[in-house]
Amino acid sequence: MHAKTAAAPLAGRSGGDGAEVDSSDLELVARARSGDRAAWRLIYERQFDYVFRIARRLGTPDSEAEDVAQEVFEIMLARLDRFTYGRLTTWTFRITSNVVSDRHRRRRVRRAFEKLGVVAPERPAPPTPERVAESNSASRAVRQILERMSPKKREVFVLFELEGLSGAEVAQHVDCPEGTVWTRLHHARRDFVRIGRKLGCIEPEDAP
Amino acid sequence: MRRWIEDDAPAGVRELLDGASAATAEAPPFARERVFERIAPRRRSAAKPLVFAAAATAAMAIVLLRPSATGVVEEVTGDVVVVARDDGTLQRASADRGGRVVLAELGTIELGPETEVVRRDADSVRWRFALARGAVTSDVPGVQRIGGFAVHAGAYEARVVGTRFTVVRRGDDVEVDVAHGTVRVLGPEVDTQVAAPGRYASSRWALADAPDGADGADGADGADGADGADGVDGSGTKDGAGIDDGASLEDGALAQARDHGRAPAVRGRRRTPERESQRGAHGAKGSASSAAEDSAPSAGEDTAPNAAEAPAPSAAEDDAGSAPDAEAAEAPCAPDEPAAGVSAAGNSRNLDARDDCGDAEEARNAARRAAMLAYRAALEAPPEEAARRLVVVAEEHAVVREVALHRAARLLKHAGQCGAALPRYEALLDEFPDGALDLERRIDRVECLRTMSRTVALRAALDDLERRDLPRTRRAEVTLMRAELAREAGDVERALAAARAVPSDTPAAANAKFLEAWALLNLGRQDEARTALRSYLDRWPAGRHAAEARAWIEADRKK
Repeated sequence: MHAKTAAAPLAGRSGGDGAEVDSSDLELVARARSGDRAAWRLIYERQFDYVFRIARRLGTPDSEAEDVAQEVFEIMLARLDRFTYGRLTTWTFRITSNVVSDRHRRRRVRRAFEKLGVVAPERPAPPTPERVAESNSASRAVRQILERMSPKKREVFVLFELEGLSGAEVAQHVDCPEGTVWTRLHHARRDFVRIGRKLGCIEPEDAP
Repeated sequence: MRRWIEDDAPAGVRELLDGASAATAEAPPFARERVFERIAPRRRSAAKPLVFAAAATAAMAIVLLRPSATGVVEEVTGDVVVVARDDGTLQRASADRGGRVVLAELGTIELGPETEVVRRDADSVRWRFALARGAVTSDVPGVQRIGGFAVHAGAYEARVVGTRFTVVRRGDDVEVDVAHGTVRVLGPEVDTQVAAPGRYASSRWALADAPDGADGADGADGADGADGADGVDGSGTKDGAGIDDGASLEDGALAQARDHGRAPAVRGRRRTPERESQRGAHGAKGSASSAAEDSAPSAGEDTAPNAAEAPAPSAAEDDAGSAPDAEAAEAPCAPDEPAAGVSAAGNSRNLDARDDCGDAEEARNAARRAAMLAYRAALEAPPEEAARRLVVVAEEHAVVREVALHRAARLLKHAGQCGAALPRYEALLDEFPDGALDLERRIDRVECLRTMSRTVALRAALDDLERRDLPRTRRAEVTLMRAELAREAGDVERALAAARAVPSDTPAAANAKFLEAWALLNLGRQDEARTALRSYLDRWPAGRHAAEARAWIEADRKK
């Protein structure tokens, strides 16, 4: 089921699966770089769903997904000149993953500070409709688990298990050998279950 | 390699991944447009190097999100020096002693002593002001701002009334105090939303100055508390966040905040040394805080009570309405906004009523903060001493009475003193028969009784629990406890029946399955026992009783 769900949004967009020839991406980016606002808008339109989806699947709370998307596109806009080869999707993924990881890291640091008593405990956010919808749902549980995984394992896990990419495609996205992808995936699955059980999101194997 | 979900994923993983995948497949409606709106203006601002250069000197900025606001200077009071652009919009404002600037369609900015704000940039969505130094209070009228956003529920109506927040800067340190609405603060080690009445301080100086600390958050946790760490599971709520409006606090390198503009109006502000001086200088609004607030200890902000164990005082205060602390809070409040068609005189009366309401709200908040600080301070002590102090807190602060007494009992229980905890639970059950923590209390009492082997009382307590509206997992635990009691009493048939009644998808299922096998063995039903044990091992191969189950199966096989 999830593979179909993941594939559907990917298939229709050139930015989604990276299948479009690189020259198209490069040309579009070159136009945007030269000030062509229509080209930038096209990039945005093509990449938005992908960025939004990846951000959420990498563990961004729904309430922050728009902030992350905004940050990603602002970085893209500022660094269009750095995109000189490869697929736009791969580049977008790297930026999104870095932004999400940075936010996860900030949360962890924040929690550490809270434990040390250096900063006041973070107050829970008020109930936005997104939060209400997300509460007690699978996506929330998965988000909590992913938030606690290391970035490398999280990336591989999400791309393979949720996005439905092949091992080779994942390797391309995360810039590592395919064998490394399988190793990371193995550990990521183990971590997923371990953390999920610890958080009570996955049924415990051992009886209480 | 096959997808995990298609292969041998552990129980529950498939459902999680399926659900997460489906839930995140598509962006919510209008997210694309909203985000694009937020990106495009920044791009345009790059064409304004002068504005950017000014902004670069500031470490903190106020952002007022206000679609199509003009920001024209309408009124200036106090000793504020204002520099406006050709179109009349504010460019810079500074004050030695403090003052006030009213901006068209945007709201009011109150400048404290020795304060300077510089317009950073503006577009159709937001206005930004860099706070170069000093303290500034922003008041954004939410009703006008988002076209009277409201939720109608029968005869009632909940309206957004805007945001009022203060930002104080001392060098690199920043304090944000929210009087109305909600403000989000982002920084190097913070990403939090501050709801009124609440405060965020980037360093401890502000906490030391202001005894009320950051405790406002706890008031928002609600009575349930079971999910306190991750926030809010409320239902039937609605907010204007998606409209991307409101007021916020931003820094190019430090912070960004966005108002979600949905909290009820709270007039007045808490008192800090800075604000006291502002008040003297330019007569800023605000009512006096309670004496309790001023005398509250400054320690303890860092030890928020575990939401799962001790719900916030706000949950309990409804039960403590007759207490002296809460009396002011019970004053009826007029609707914050007059209904359509109300006369001018009616409006005036409503305004007066709102001021009264604001004072009552202020007193209520002050009482709650003082109580919360005392509560937290008590928890600093070792368990037994903390329990003793919590009883004192409960006597002195009615708004936290139930929570404090409950926590005291629980501390004793966790310290292994069930004999001391039990009478406290009993007393609480009498005093708060429908309290916010009633169910937790009854379950704790059952656990105490079990620890103390008071079987008869335990059965009665279980009967009492079962008559109540228990969550499914709790009910399963009660059923399992009944099975274990039957086993201890040697009533194997009853133990078997109870064990089988435990739902298989609850955490209690593992112990129940093993207990079922034990009962079947004792009844001489070997085949069924074998099946039950295998079923247990299939599902919980590393379970607590796995070794025992394997040993029995092995012994049976040899026979």
